[in-house]
Amino acid sequence: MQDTDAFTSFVRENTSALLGTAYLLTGDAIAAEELVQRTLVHLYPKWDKVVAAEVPLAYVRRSVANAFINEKRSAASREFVVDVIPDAGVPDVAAGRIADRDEIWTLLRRLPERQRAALVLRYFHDLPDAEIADALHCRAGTVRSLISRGLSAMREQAERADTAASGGWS
Amino acid sequence: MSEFEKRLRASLRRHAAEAPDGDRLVERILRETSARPAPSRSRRRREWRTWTLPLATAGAVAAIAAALVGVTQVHHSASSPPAVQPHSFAELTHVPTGAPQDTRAVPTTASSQPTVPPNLTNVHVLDATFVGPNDGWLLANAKCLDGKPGQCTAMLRTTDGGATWTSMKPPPANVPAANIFDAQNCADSCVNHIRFATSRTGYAYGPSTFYVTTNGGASWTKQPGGAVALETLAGNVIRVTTTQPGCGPPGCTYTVETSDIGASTWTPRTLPGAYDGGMTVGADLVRADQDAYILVRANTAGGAGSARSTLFRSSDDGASWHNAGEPCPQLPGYGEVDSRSVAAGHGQVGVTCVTRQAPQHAFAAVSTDGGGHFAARGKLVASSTDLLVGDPTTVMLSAPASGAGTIFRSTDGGEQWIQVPGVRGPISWLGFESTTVGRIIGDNGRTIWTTNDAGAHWTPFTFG
Repeated sequence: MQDTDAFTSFVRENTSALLGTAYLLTGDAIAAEELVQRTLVHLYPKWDKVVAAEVPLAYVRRSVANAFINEKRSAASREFVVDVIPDAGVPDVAAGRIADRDEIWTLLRRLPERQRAALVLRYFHDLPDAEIADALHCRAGTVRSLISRGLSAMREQAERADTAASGGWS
Repeated sequence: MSEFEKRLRASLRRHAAEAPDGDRLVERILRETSARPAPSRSRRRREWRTWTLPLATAGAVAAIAAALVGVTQVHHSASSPPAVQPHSFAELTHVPTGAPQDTRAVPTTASSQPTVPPNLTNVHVLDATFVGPNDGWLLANAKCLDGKPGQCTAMLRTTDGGATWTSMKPPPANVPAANIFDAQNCADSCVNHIRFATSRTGYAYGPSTFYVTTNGGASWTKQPGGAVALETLAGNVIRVTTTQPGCGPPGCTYTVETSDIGASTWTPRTLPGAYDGGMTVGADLVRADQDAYILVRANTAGGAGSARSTLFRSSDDGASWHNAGEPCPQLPGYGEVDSRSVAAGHGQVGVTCVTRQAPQHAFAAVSTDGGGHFAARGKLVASSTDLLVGDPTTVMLSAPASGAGTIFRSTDGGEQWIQVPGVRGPISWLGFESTTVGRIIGDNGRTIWTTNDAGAHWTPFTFG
């Protein structure tokens, strides 16, 4: 198979799966599409390397995660990372307490990119430390630290949100 | 894993499903890259070399054959000696239209010229797998083409939905000489099932043998272990394994593992609880969306104690499992009722239920709450029921009455049943790829039927 054909076949078969990963990383449908498109277009001239990988999809997925990190790194000034969830403010029962299913998602999107990427690769793709480290271009120990700090931050923020919500409503 | 981590995992699954479907993006990417120079060709040259070397070797050790069956061209490569013993494997010496496209790089030389398709005889299809309405593979055995007795491994490929089949390089393993249920008669390297996740990544496996291809079957890599069931969906793979092929008394113990598609590492998962009675005879695995179900089937044939089947369900692509016990409703006056097969789709999961006192009778039971509660549907079918697959609103039953085999179809979840005309048994496999496209392997593996209208009409393809 010519690499052009291989590329076309891969794009048709795997774009949807890659979009899932990209959406979890970016939290935005348009940004996810742009991330996947940029990654695949960037890989196209050297598609022989992708084909030669043990698992081409895993190779491209790592590239997506890496591109996400690098893009955010180069455009860090555009990113506004919220360390603490804003207070609930005026009680609003209708909008109210963040639903459980969306609370986790909201907290994840507010993590720094590398922590978010590590959590997505671990808890969505079940990747071991070594493969996450390969994707994020860091050491396995750093991956464990990213995951630990990410989970801790999300737990703390969830507790603060709980406290704020219950205080506001009581 | 903590409760918080479980919530995180579930949230990621939910939100990944909210991502755009990608159809428009695919076209955008292909448009953008079409204007750019083609990728480098170093990989293509490497594939050319790996393909031609075995061709030269194969020419010295085996005869190559293919055949025209009716109006459909069928090519076949077989090997020797018989399938139940280890053997060497012959490569194709022609360029198959449906084989991996890597073979197009084979140069026109004396050692790789297409040959006249020889006769292919005694084909028995063992298993089928499709990755779309057109792309499919069959694992089969056929008469050895080098004159030696017995059946040899064969693999066939279609790219037109089963209208035509072409042989391709089979996995380097033996297959059962008769049907998929004869796996216990195989040597160690025997495979009896095949599953492809994409057009390039696939699995050939048996209870103690496991092969993976990541290049469309051009080469196969052996991995440790084996599988009795395997399904791929949404980027990951679930397989059910056992260390006791054959499952004699007191039955098999099953374990579950998951992996990324094509990966070489597997993560063990826990099936909680025990199997009632311990007399397990097999395990079925089905998947739909993020849901997966494993039915560990028990032996209903005899014995004083109960031998109920057990249904396990997962809602996170096989990462964690819940023991739902025996799903079949217990009918007054019929004694023990055991589930025999499972299917899932469109938010429903269905099982076929067999009564112990009257095993010739069976009925369907369907759950609309993810396997939490099953309600009996319809009437008893006057035959023992072997298989049920597809969307449970369109239920197909394979009832191998006295070995003849019969297919029944219901479009109301099992209330009314109509026999499907023209399908010949014994039926060894029945599967749906969608709510409309399905396949039946019957006629003792010699014919595969395809439907494109949810089982209303079936088109046969009979191999030579």
